[in-house]
Amino acid sequence: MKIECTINRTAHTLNVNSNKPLNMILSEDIGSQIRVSQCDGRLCGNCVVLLNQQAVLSCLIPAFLIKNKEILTFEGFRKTRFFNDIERAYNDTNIHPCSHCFESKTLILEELLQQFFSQDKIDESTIGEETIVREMRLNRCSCLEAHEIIAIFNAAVSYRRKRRVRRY
Amino acid sequence: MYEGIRSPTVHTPKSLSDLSVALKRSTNPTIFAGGTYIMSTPGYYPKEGEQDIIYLGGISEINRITRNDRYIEFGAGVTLQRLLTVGKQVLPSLLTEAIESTSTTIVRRQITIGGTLCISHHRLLICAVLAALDAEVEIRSFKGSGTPLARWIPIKDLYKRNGELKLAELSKDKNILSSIRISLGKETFSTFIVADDVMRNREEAVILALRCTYDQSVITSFRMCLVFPTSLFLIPQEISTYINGLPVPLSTSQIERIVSLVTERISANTDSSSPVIQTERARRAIEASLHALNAQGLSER
Ligand SMILES: Cc1cc2nc3c(=O)[nH]c(=O)nc-3n(C[C@H](O)[C@H](O)[C@H](O)COP(=O)(O)OP(=O)(O)OC[C@H]3O[C@@H](n4cnc5c(N)ncnc54)[C@H](O)[C@@H]3O)c2cc1C
Repeated sequence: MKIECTINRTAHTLNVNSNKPLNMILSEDIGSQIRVSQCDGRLCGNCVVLLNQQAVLSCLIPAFLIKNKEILTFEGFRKTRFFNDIERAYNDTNIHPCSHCFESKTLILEELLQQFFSQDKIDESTIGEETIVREMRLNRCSCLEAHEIIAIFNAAVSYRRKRRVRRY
Repeated sequence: MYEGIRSPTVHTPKSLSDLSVALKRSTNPTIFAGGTYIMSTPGYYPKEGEQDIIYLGGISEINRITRNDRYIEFGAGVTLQRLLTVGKQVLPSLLTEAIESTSTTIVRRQITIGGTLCISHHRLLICAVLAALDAEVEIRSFKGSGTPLARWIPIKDLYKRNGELKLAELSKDKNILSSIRISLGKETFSTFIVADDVMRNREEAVILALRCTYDQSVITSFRMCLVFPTSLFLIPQEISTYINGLPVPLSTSQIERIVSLVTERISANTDSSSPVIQTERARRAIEASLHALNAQGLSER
């Protein structure tokens, strides 16, 4: 199946099986150093990417659903200004996810920040501390404690608030 | 990389009539809703002999939510996250809480309500909750020519006692689950308990959902559903018959009687391979929820 999509701001025309999972496409068909985990159904939460700016587990997205979509992996995301907010939050709090889950946890944090700042956000209570910790647990790595996740999130919120920019 | 493996043809119907055409064109297609179950099956890719895929995401008729005075109806293609955002004000709290406890926003944006009901071999929380709420599902049959036949059935008729889909392999039979309907009756007490991680320890997990109404302290419309994800889907009618009409709070001996009735039903409906831990967890879950019912009843006096 021929699929056109944008990966990390570069247009690609891929010739892949229609049911091939996105995490495998990223590792095998792009020809760059994109690192995404291959969990084969173990749901480790280590393969998060942004698909049209929303976080997804790339192992759950088949090729036919990325047609004409924009994919941003961590490698692409780290080049945006938005990564700086999260990076500074890590540095300020001196709390970093481990190297195993760093990429995915960072992208889930970005998703949470977007939800927090989105205009059509339901209400702030839906993104309270419990929600934040729960959402982060999609990534099964237990390197961060709940209070550490909250500290990073709050620091990132204050940087993002200052920035007041909504788009990439 | 995987030469020789056929790339499945993907059909993306936009309406039920397009779906009918797609179903006629393909033999044993994979019905793809949110894909979270399909894609997380170990060994999903690469696999030989892949069938056509029919993607339900574009069918407008099964992506609607409607409501009138008596019930709320939602299409099978509605995602759990959309149900939460659109239907939160009108859905029974039992259902919204169950949805909120299912995975995270990122995955709920992908899981469809139809997909949660149509996994062939095991039952999870949303099935139990919808059964406790006495939901009905609409099945559309696309067999033969002409317009598809639609019929509503109670959700309990969708499953065997061991939890397997009764309309075996719904999609393979050219049957599609198209809508779900819940009546908006009064519900004074509802709860669910999930013991253990249903995704990682299905063989030992237990799910209990129950709801009832009490009017001037007398219990009516009691309904419970007990699930062992891989081996039991139980809606014990005689428990409802026993409890309906009893006053809140239930006495200790009444609670003991209910627990022993359920235990009897469990052993009558499971084979000896079901772990003892599940029966024990079921007993405790029932006790805990009946005590919660008592506590709520007493606090409202
Ligand atoms: C990361 C992760 C976390 C999860 N956490 C939880 C959890 O906490 N609690 C929980 O209960 N579950 C959980 N699940 C399981 C989840 O509920 C199932 O994967 C989901 O219900 C499947 O829905 P879907 O829309 O993705 O269905 P699909 O994967 O598309 O389909 C599932 C099955 O149903 C069939 N089907 C789908 N729709 C229809 C239809 N309308 N008519 C006929 N057949 C149909 C398909 O052919 C397939 O056999 C989790 C899954 C993942 C991946």
